[in-house]
Amino acid sequence: MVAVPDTALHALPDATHNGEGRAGMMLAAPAAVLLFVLLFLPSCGVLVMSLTDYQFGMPSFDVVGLANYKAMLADPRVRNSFYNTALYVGTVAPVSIALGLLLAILIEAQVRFRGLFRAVFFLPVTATLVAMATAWEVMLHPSFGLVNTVLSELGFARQRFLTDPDIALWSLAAIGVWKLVGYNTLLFIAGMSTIPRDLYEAASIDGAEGGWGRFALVTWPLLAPVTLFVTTITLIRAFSEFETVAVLTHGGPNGATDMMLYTLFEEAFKYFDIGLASAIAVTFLGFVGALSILKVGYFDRRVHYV
Amino acid sequence: MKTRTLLTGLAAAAMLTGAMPALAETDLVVYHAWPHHAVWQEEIAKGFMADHPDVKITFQAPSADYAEGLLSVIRQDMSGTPPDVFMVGSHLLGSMVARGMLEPLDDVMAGHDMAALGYTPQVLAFTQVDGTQYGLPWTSSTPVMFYNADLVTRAGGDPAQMPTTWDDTIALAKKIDALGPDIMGMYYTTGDDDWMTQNLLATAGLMPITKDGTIAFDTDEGRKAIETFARFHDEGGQTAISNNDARQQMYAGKLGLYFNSTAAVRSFEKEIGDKFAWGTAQMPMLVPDGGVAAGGMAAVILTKDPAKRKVAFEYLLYGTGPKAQALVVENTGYMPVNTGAKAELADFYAQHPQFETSAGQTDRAYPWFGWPGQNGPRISQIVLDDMSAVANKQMTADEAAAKMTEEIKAQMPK
Amino acid sequence: MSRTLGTGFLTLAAVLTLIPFVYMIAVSLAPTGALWSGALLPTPTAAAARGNYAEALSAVPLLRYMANGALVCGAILVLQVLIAAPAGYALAKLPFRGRPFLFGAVIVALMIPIQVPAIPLYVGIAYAGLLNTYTALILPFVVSAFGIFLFRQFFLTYPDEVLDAARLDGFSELGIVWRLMLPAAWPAVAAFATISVIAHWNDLYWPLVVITDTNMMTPPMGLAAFRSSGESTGNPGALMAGGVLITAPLVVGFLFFQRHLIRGLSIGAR
Repeated sequence: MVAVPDTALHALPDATHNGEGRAGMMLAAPAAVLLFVLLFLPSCGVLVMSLTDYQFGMPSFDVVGLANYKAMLADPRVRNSFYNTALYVGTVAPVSIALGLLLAILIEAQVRFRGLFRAVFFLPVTATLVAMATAWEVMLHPSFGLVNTVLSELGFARQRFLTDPDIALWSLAAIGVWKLVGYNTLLFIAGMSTIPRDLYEAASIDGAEGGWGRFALVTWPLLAPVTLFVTTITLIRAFSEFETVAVLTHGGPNGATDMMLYTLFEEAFKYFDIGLASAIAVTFLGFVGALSILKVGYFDRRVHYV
Repeated sequence: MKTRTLLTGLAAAAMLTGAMPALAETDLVVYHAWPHHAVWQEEIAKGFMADHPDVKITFQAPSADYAEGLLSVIRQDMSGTPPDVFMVGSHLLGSMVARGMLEPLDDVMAGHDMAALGYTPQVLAFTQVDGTQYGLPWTSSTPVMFYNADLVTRAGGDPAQMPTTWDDTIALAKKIDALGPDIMGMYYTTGDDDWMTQNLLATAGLMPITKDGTIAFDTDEGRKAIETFARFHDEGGQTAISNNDARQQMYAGKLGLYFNSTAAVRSFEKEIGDKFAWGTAQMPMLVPDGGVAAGGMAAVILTKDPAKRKVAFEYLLYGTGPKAQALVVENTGYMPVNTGAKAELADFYAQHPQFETSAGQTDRAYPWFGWPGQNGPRISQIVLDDMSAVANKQMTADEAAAKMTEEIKAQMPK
Repeated sequence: MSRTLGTGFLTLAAVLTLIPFVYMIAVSLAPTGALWSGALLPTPTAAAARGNYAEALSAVPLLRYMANGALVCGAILVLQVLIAAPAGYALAKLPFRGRPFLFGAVIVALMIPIQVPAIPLYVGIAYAGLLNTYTALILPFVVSAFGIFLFRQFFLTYPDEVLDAARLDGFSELGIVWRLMLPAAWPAVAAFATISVIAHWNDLYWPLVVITDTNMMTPPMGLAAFRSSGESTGNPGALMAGGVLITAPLVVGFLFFQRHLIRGLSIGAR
């Protein structure tokens, strides 16, 4: 771990006219231009589009104010999609964060196989989600799938995991947790490894007994920044779920698994309702941007696990 | 002397090589959907080029499905270089005409006696918009009833005498469903768009918009069609699994009756083989004079160059001619669009009777209805969602019919 | 006692995590009938394995998709480093007019997911006639705010005295970036590379936007198309074989480069 002080910004001599200044501009120029052209310009574009009735291929358009946002909030399908997103995020984020922390603590307490466990839990993060989603689909097949075979052997009824409107979203949430836990585990382990050992000794002198006392007195408070970081990126990732919806359910049955990014994609590139899609995109940016401020704040002011 | 021979030889060679491009006078760029269709699409092009050495046909990489194909063509049209010939889902034809992407075929069709060439008025109607011919049907299909003959027999039915009404079909499905906990009586797929729902309406004698302009879901027969779909689940043993799940259930020999396009028949033959006896039967009807909705693709000409349009039309005629259509049928299970293909297919049909069922329904086939205006894809999704709600018992048939009517009205051009 | 309990729980969680991988591999090696008989894990046979993998490679041009993926990921990574490293160096070590502004812009850029500028980017790419091209797959990702930020943070710790010495030795500023800074920042480069490749090999959203041509698809998009075409319905084994083939490069790569990857993701990738 390397602590990186952020001093460069504040302690600048005014050196813009010397050679270093020119070289600096030259070296930064490609990135600056590309950031502007590929990111900021189109992002402002989407903001403008959300206030107009622009359609693909149409030569002109009118400003319609907040009409697209009103339409978005009034559209039952969009509202349903936002609601599902909230349910999904509200489930996947806490579960995968808590489970990630638990696994991290258990792994840290292990004497052997720590690397092995870490690698195993991390596999879903690297694996191609589209491919793994198809594997989950076969596992969750209503008649022949592994999960239903086990359920039926144990005397439970078979379930339509991906086609029952009451279950489908939770099936996707389970896949989401499976995908995210390993990453969180890893970040918590990295965070714990920075906690000085002598703090634990001090804690036991203060009378902190057993695992729980040590956790409550030392681990948890010192992990707070890591936990904040894990929470924000997990929320962002859960908000951004797209693959499982696009591959497994197409938002169905009857909209039960429709989520924000999938709705955005469909409105923009299937129905070509650019105004509505842009309004959803801006809303999405609102959520993710707010979370990112927390994340970047952590990036910038705290330390980095390098 | 020697030099001269050499020069003559060179000149001859130059003429020969020069003659090659001179022979291939017309380049046609063809674009179609479904990557797995490339095999027979290219076969048709090969046959055509053998007959017309002056034409060179090249293919764009096929699109994943009809909607993707149309999107790609709209985008290519924006940049000014669309393909010359395009095979589009025939329900999307109206949308292309509305966008001004298509000219009527009148200029190139003039002088051809289409009836004598083997095209019935019914088949030609598949690719007309408001009575004007904008393309030729390249492939055509209707849905059929696939059945597991073993299960039908075990349930007391007769595979040679499959039911012809929905009431009898549901009764049979109920008996099949009772054969065991792992056996499903029937599965009627709603597909990826509203085509199979159009077919339910067709069995009640309805187009999605009736002659007097009413949305079919707002009629008594329409509500009855949706009610029939609910009965598949309540009585016929259908559960709301996905179409893929159901097909796997069928291949595994655990599904009695399965309803989908005849285009699936080739896959059935490949996947079931002789694991168990199976067959196809005509669609059951809700009313005696009901029909089916024809699906499939229209071949349209996008080039505006008159000479090229002529050649492109020759290609359309070849591809929809008896020989090429026989090839399509044998490769897919579609039904021939050309009456002349029946003779070509006599032997094949004798050996593969499952392929012939669909053709027997042509005389009562309606065209694949495309919703007016630009919101066709959204209306398809509305229909799919509400049918799914019926299947999952979130809504009654009447509630769904009312909801669909209202939602579709909101999406139609004012 | 409690450690035994912990080990037990960890083992259970590890098994549950691995089941989809094991199942995918098992189905990819087994005949279809074995799956539909309702067995817990279908029994592999050599013939079925050959058939499934052969079908995955012939029913869709899977090798071509993987080549597309490799080319796109490679091009994105090279361009990202070429553009981000000098910028990171300038932000860390070269005071210039507008530097605080640019750094602020990088921070803001970190917050914008690709789905936000996607619609205008799509319009621009469509009008430029670049749909269904490698350019369309690569272009939006050539500048990585995360890369710039990461390199800046790494370069900040580099001693200024060494830079001054290098300048006295006649190094140009660009020479300093390539010959001093990047080699010294090798762990950051490796970490960034793993993150970038994982993100772009696995991405489904952007290819779905700009690609319709079946020859231009990336591995996840191609596999999704194989699944939805219905061609794989009758033979899930072939679909699973395709899944194994497109997942294998990253998983095997992960097992080899675990340390870099874990370090990279610990830094906080997306």
